[in-house]
Amino acid sequence: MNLEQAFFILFGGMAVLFSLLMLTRRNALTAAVCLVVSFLGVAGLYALLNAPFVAALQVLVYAGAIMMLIVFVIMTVDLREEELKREKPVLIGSLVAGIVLLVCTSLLSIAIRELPRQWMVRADDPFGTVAQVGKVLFTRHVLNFEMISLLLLVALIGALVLGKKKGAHYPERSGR
Amino acid sequence: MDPHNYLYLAVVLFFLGLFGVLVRRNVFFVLMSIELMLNAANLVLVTAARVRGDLDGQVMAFFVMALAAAEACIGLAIVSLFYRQRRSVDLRNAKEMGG
Repeated sequence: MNLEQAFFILFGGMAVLFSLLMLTRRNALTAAVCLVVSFLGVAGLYALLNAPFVAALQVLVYAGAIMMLIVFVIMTVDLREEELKREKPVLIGSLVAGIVLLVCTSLLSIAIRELPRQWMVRADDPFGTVAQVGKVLFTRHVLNFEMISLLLLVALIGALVLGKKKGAHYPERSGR
Repeated sequence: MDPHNYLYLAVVLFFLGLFGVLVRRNVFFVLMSIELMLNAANLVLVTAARVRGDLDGQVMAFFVMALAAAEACIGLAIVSLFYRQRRSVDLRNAKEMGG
């Protein structure tokens, strides 16, 4: 087994193990931390796939910003109330869902066998560097980039509007 | 190292996330499972980028990440409203639409 396989098992195992842990926790905060570790495993997988820029973004955006946001909102919910009502799993529903999803997983795995098995990029090729991704991003995908910026603005405004308290009185700015 | 290994891993992650969305009743777990599914899709995109020798997959993964951030933001704002109204994050209380 070479180093690449060892790292794949390490990071892949980390990703799957901690997402399994996340799904089986009772405490939402513990689950969020498990998911952060899972995302770090995925970031390692991106590094293995010649995608250093995407790997760095995964750590910054996913493990960093998105999970921080989720943890923040989990903490604003009154934990005492949540601990009182412990979530009892619906056994039959989980079993049916599990079986159906297992079937779907196997079907998809069979379909994957038809896909090509050759890497176009070798492990030591300089592939997903920041400069290269930036070049593609701002030439071929510049329109998408602008649309994503617009989307982020819309999301920002939407979250502000949704988060505003009903009938809140925002005081006039004094000292003009 | 086969591309297929990464794809199988992505399939497992995706269906784990889907299982979480279907089974868990706490809304935070549903949100986190959705993020897990998005990560699985990103993994497929980045794998495809390396298989094709094309950076488009990585750029698409970048866009998916930005989208996921925006969606998590709005989703959490909705969760805050939900909690404000019902003092609960249990999705069983969300069976009726309106109000």
